[in-house]
Amino acid sequence: MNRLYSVEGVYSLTGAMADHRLRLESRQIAPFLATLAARLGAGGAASLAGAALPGVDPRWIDALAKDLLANRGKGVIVAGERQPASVHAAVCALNAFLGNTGATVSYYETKDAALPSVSSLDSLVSAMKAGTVQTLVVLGGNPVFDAPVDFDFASALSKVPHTIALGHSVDETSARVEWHIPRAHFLESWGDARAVGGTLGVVQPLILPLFDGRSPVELLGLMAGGQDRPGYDLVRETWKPILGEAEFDRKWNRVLHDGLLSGSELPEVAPGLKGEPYAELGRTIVDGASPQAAAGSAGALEVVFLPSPSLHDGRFANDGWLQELPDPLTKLTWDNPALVSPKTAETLGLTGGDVVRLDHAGRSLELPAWIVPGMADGVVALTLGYGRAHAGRVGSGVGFDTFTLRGSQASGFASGVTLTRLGRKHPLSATQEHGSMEGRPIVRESTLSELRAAEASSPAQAEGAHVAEAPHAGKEGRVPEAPGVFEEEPHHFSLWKEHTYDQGQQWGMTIDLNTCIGCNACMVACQSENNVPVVGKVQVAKGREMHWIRVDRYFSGEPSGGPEVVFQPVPCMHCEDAPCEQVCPVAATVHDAQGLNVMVYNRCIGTRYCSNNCPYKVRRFNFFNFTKDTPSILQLGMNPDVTVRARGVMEKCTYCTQRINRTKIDAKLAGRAVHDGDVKTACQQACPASAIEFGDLRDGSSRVAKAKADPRNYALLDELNTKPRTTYLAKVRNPNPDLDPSTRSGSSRAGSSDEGVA
Amino acid sequence: MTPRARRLLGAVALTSVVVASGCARGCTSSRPPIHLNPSMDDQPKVRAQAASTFFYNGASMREPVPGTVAIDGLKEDAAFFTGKGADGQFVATMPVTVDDAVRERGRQRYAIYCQPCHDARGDGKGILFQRGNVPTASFHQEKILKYSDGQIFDVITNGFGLMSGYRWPIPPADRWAIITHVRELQRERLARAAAASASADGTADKPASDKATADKPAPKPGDVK
Repeated sequence: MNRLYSVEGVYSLTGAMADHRLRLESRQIAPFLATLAARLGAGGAASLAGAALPGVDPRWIDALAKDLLANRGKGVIVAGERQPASVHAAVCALNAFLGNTGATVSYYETKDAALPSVSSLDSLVSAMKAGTVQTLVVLGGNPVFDAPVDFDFASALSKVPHTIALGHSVDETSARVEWHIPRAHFLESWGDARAVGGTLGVVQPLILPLFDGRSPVELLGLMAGGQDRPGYDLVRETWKPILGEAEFDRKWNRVLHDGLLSGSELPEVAPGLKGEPYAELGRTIVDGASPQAAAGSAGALEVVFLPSPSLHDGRFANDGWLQELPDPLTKLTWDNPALVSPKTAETLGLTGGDVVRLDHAGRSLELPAWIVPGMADGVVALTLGYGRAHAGRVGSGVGFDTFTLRGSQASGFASGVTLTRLGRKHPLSATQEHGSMEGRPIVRESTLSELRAAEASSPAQAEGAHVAEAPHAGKEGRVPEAPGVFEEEPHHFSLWKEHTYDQGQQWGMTIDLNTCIGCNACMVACQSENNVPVVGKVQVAKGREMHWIRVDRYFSGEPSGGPEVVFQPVPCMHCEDAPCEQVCPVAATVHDAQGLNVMVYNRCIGTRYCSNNCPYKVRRFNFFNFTKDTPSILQLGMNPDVTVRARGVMEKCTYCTQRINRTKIDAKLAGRAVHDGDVKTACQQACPASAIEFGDLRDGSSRVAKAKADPRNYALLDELNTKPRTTYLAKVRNPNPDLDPSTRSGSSRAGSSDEGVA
Repeated sequence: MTPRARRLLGAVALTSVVVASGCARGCTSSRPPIHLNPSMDDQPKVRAQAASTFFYNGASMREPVPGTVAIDGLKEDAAFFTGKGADGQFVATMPVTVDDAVRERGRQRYAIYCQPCHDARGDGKGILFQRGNVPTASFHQEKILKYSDGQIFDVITNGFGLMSGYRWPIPPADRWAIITHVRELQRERLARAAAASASADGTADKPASDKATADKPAPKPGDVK
């Protein structure tokens, strides 16, 4: 099992998965790296030693350096994208020093790519202001919204006589140009691409264009060739010299089918670093230290600009699914408050939802604040992509435009920001406001050594024996061998005559908490598959969000220290003894022969007794007719196999019963049995980490049955004897024995940019 | 009176009219039925094959984009997918191995897709010919006996004369399976003819009438034309 160290200022998903995490401001990453390089003994880095980092336990760096040196060629150091070039160069040099280059890190030439560059945008804007640009064509992108604010792209644009923008909708840029050209979606367009490794591929459209849009390829073809030609012809023409005229159609079809041209990957290159990477790093540290000193240590904060996990840079702002998708860490929807650590909030006298004003380099921004444990103290994190003026029906005016604070000099993070409380409150809608498990074993955790010891002592563990798991406790930190009141209790007897479920397929699911990265992909996949409505910020604040699967996030450890984070996706558990079924007065929720807890929408009269009685709180009620005014284009996006629910109806996860039935019908038509893996639920299909397994529990060879036989398997709220069909595999951490738990959560400062060792 | 109550009263009045006129059920009507509780009857979604007011062609289902190749949609084996070899000529024999499963599949698919016109024995005297006088080719005529397998495949795929192409309803593997069945019908007929003529060499009239019935197995109505 790998061991991941993370050094960052704002909790990232990577940091949440780390075995050891150090909170550090983004500007402290360069000094940290210098100290690490000196400790590793990299050639030329010795001069960087000396300056001890405030608040960083030297043992932490020792342990990290020891692990990296012990695993030469098997580890990797990765620098965060917000870090300056000198940090990336030094990381590259360190990876080479550790023998990781070529083994765990590969470098490729960037071919046929225009790399993003702030300076080239700067020179363009200068030329526009000087009036030397006659015609400006914007192919996608939204520079009026997201260009560095000190460039003032909008006023520069007004000085250009002819402006043309190609875009999906009339956004901030399109609203200010002379001509707006409707853009075809990438799923409607022909194109080609080169992957990072150099592999060439043709991008083929998935659907005939809904509207008569133009792709960038077609627009460029018109501009360069003077002819309006279909993208298909243009792409084929480009590929003629690549594939050769002989047997072109056969090779072309093969590329289309495979998605890539095999054998077109580029050879790895050995990076040649110009100059002295460690000396550069030293200069960055000196440069970084001086303005910080100038700004004064008192009251000056560091601001970090994060792309939104859902909206990225704002391009997806008009998507209700993404707006309502909670942030993985804050669990906030429809908003982007400034995030601060509990200690910073205490120092500044802030509570969640307080409106604050941030001042930086003569620019100011008013927005609410929100407290997130695990952040570095003295850091304000701003999420980009919100506050759009021309996003569309859904996204306009949602959140706060944090691009207005971001200059070209510090696009990732900036020091010297002052924060003022304005004494107002702004309502924020979170789907989970409580971050503690209150000592209950909701997410169970173990360490690799504990698990190994348990396996060695009892090799033949029966399912349900949770020897290794210790409750992931709340404030007291981890309590490995305290049984407590929530330790496994013997099963209660059932009041009901229990069904045996020994016929046909019996569906079940496991969710591996060790591989779940908390990315929320399952939530959107489920929403798309099951026609789950979007309810809006006001309804989310009332707890009326409709997600059939949610991802719970829990903090453990001292909130003001460095708490650990665990994620837990929670769909309907499909309990065999379902509490919801026993209280339904109209039998609208019942069990079927395959063990599914099914909802009969037409029977439901909306008493909500079931939701009240559900211990997992996974049932969702249609308080309003959320789907009544669905526009015809969105009706095309509804899954025809799933009922669209009306007001007054309860709904919940169905284990994608429509997919189960479709598979069974297909298998029957083909005259074969349903194989393991034939049915994939939407969440399982979307999971990038393959954390979810689904299948027939009666088939002993199925992946889900094997997962259930894992000693890490446990049922959520097992003491209620609901016999859930969905169970969890406990999380396993791999802490360094040199760093005892008190150190793990004890470091007092935090930071941004990831470093990991695999 | 609230609009809701008025609507309910109207519905009750209408129901009584319907009942009084004795046409509560079983009558055809172009109008949709009355829904007292319209909950979830009208779904804001697009079902398969439904009409659409969104697309110009009035169909809600989109066709695949021309030129795209889907997963498992690669047709590199030209002989299998078009019945033509690399030289563009029809292949003489089918590019699939024939076993009992293929023969059975072919018999079954033939009964579904071909029999209505070509009849069970391949004489072109199927129900469409009997009822509608649709001229249908017999597999036992000289011309078609000379067809190569690839050519028959091409006819099934793209149609011929009045026959429309069966490219969409019958996947390529099934088309080849059908051809095995057609070949079987032809072989059977030829074998029987050969046996009949062999026995006809010996005796006189009786087998000749047998041969006649074997050649013209179609029922009487088919002979109208």
